[in-house]
Amino acid sequence: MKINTLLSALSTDTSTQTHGIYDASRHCSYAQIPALFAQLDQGIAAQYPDLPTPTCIAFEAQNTVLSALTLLYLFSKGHSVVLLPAAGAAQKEPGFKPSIPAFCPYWLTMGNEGETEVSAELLLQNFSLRPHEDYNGHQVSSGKVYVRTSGSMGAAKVVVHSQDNLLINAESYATRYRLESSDRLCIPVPIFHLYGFGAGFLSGLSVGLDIDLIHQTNILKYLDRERKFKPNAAFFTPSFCEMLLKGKRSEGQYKLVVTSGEPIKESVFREFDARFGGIISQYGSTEMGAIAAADPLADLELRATSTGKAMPHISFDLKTEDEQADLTILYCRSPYSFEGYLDDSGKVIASNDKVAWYRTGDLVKDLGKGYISILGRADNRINRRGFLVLLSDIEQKLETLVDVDKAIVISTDKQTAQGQALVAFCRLNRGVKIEPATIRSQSFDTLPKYAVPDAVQIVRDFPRLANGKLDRQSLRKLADG
Amino acid sequence: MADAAIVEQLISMIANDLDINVKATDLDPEMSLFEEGIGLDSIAIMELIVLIEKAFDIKFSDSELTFEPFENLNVLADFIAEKKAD
Repeated sequence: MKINTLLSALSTDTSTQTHGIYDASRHCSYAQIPALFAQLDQGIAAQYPDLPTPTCIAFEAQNTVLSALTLLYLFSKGHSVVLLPAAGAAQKEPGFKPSIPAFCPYWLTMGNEGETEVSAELLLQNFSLRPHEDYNGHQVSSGKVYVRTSGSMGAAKVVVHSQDNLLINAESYATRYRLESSDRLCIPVPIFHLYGFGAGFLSGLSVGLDIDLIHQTNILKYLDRERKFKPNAAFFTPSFCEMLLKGKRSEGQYKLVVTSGEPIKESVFREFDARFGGIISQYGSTEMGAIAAADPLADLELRATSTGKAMPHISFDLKTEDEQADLTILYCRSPYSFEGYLDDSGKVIASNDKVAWYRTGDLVKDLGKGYISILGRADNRINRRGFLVLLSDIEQKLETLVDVDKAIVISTDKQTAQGQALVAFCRLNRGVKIEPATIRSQSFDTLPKYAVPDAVQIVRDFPRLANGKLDRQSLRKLADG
Repeated sequence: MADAAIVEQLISMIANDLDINVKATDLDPEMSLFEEGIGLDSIAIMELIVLIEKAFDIKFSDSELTFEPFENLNVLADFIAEKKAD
């Protein structure tokens, strides 16, 4: 396993061995890891003598040192891992069971209790490894990572990655990010999701820098950790960038801030760069990993107005699927992308031969010199009275209204005289209290009639999935309801 | 001892002025403000900070924007009282 070569190198290389993984209460250096894992081998054999090696284990990885070490340990033994999202409040209910694919025989949850000193005993004390009751007997593969897609349309699928390929990708991302072993990386986004894990954690690990993991981030926790850990690099989401702009009073200096998950408002991007520096947008998918990002040293104009250029190993193909409708979709491929899709029972839905082009389903504009701009989902475009409208354009225009902070426009299945019905969800600026009907009538001043939403709903904040992304399905339900 | 009047004012702010669904009677001054207790998210925390600064005529410095003063309402009330005394 590639991970073993990496961990061995990190522990012996003088420029990396004193670095390591941190969280609010603990820390483990890369130098400690080999001995720790050797002891863990013995401990696991004693505590779980019937555990086959390798096997497949569903694991809810939290942003803690203990969880991160556990993930690395599982990889080092060739165990396949199903990355489970945080269960959140539901976990506190008695008899709670997360949704684990039937092809996975084991389920691991980690506590975070005990002393601050990291040891194999401490890890074992916090392990709760159980057989998965609903395991269907499916044959286990080794060295894989399984992630459920958020499945915005219909049933969720399980995306399969090879652990070795995730590492190869991580190394290539680190080159794009210009990460060095002397950098200090903070990861407040979840590591049970490929963004925080594959792009954030593994890239940092691949160069052997200090990594700080923040669990259940809120603005105060982040500012606190920022003060203590003094990161010069971080992985955020656009909404966290906005929160930081509001909550952090001082200026900062980041060498690198990656933002991903959804498009960031250009004004937020520019303000963030002016006050904190080093921000780049990243675009990716669960299947392909990180697809595009700008060079952090590229000038602000390019970083603020593009989605970057192809990550190393990624090739682009921009296919115009509909000349008349000006529909150019981004296709991409990489020899280190996903292996394929499984369903929950372990049956292969499709295999990825790494040569076939993967259709991202996103509209793209070629900016030249390898740079692209992602314009939104192809289904972002709907027909209203014969005009093609981009939902993201309507959102942008609504956000220019003085009372609106953020808007998300959803098209529903209802048909109106205008075409597909549009519902706008608006988060208002703080302290503003106005009626949805008022926003709607204001929007007539900024939008052509056919693009005015049929209904406006005011929300305090937008529903999000466990990985932090906008939960459009919930909004669709609210729109229909 | 935490200033009871300040604690009461904070309870009123959280129950009435913050856009979250919580009743004054559910708020215990020893409860965590965060996910283990009242469950304020980043937006609510930011709103509360602005409300506190206005109501008590104080300003949180950057180094005070940490979760220690916000551990629970008693701690927060103590913090506010001390800042006002400065």
